[in-house]
Amino acid sequence: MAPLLQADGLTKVFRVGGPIPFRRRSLTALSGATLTLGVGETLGVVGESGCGKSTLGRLIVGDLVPSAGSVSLAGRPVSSIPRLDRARLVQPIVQDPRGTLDPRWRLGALLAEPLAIHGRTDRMADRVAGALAAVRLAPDIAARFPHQISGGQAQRVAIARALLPEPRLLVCDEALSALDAAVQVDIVRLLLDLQAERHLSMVFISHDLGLVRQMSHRLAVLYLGRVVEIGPVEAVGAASSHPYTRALIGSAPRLDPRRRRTTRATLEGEAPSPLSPPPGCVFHTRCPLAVDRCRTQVPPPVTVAAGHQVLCHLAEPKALAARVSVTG
Amino acid sequence: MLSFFVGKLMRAALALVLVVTLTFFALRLAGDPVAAFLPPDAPAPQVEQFRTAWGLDRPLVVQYGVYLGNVVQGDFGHSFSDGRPAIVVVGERVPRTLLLLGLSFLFMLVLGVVLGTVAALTHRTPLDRAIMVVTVLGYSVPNFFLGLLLILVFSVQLRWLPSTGSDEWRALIMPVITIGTTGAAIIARFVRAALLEVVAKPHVRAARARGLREFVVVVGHVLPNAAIPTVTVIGFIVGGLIAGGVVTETVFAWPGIGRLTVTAVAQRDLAVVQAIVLLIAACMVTANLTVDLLYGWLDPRVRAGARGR
Repeated sequence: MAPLLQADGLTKVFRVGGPIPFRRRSLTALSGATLTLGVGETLGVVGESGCGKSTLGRLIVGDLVPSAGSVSLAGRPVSSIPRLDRARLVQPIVQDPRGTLDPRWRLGALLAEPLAIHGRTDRMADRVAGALAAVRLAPDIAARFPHQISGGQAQRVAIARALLPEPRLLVCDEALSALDAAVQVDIVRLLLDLQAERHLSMVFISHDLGLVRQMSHRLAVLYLGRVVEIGPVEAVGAASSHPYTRALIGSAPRLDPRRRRTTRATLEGEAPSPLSPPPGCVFHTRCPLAVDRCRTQVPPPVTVAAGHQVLCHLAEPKALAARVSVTG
Repeated sequence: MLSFFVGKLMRAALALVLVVTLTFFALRLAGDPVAAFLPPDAPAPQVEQFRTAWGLDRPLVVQYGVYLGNVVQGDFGHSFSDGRPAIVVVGERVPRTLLLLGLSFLFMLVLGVVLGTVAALTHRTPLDRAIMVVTVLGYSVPNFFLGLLLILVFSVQLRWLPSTGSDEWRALIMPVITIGTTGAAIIARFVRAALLEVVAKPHVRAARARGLREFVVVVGHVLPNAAIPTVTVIGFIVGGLIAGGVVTETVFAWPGIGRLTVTAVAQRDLAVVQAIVLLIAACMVTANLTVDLLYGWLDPRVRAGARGR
């Protein structure tokens, strides 16, 4: 069966700089991203800020048009899908849910709108109540305005609204980052329940590695616009992983005090500017394992196991694993 | 909501009392009406008689008290020049001015909103830039100059439009343009800025993601939200409209309140000037009150008032 989402060499270049044409430069936010996502599956996308996570999300929902490469949903390129069909295939959920709710509209009207857009005007009140029930909200919230509800409630409303066109894919871009931990757990549970009920696919974008691992079947790691690693959640971060992924995992705070003192790979400094990415492998400036080849040659994707690709010159399963044990 | 409204009303009333007081004393400090109405060599008994007849011989504070009492009862005093009640002298000019200012307001609103919307929707294109340049010109040109320029071109040179008069609709064209241009330019710039701000809001992108047609996005989600800041500016402009009317009515010899103001002030016709100032103040206060109420209607966050976040 063809995958629901397929991206091939997906690239987005922004022109940045002032109004003077010759001073404008190009910023490659995403470069040659290739990935697939099946029905009912969740793909986690992680990386530091500015690595192209959100650009990827916006390309998938059709908010941006690719500069090169393609992204298709259910076999059709996203940019050529008519707006109504596209809305029934993919819906975004973003970090600031209150911002996505028109402040002048009552929640009931905001929830009825997608139904009206998609011409399902019969039993509208029932459907709105059903949508609220699906995200475990009381029906009387429909009479309120967006500024009269809490952040967690707003995110539930945003999810309810995203589900009304009955999309097959949700793209959650930092959907939980603005919420406190207790509410995060709630929404994670809600999303997992909804996914099971409706066979939803999800692209789950976040900088919170722990959260992403909990939600996802597969994981894509982005660095400076490149997908440096993609694979099953259990394999990503293990011995055969990309040095960046391991550093990213090493940087995550640990709660267990007995394990705090152990040496682990971490990242020094900041990522280079995407306006002038380093030659060769983009990660070589911060990579503890970098060799001469990394500074000049762009690494090809290496398949280290079935469905697990790593963008690294050293990614021959054994060689990489051996070096890892030395660095710790 | 009710206490909000009552509070606004009390403030409006206070503003009116202050305006009445200020103009009363300012006018009496600015010059003696006797000098304006009687010849300089008038005999002393005649001057005395004029003063007694109009109550000008009494202490200023007493005059003020009497005036306030009369105003509360709806008596605005009488014109020095022809003895008719000031309210009648002013009232007969109101319809013409209302016609002129009403049309000018409509003109600036329609032109401003259309230009601003077009500029915002064609953001960063040559059309947008051209509109912005024109609007800078629009609000930089003083209206007395614009009025004279229009007369020079369309009346003197081309002979298309009458330079003065008020008896045919064609006489309205140039005064309306003269009064409305500045406001239209300001509104255009504000509407453009407000639209660009709202278009960038996540809820507008969210509306597109739901599959909404671009036209419905603009009319349903962008314009109503952009109206919130724009309404404030329009409230200010309505006040300026009356000031613009004074100059423009004089330039085009339009028989309205504006021209009456100029002659009444020159003659020190105290009762008439005071009635006009009170009328203008009442208009301003009403405009502000309307804006406040519109706010509540446009923006649910204001309605919640103190109860909000």
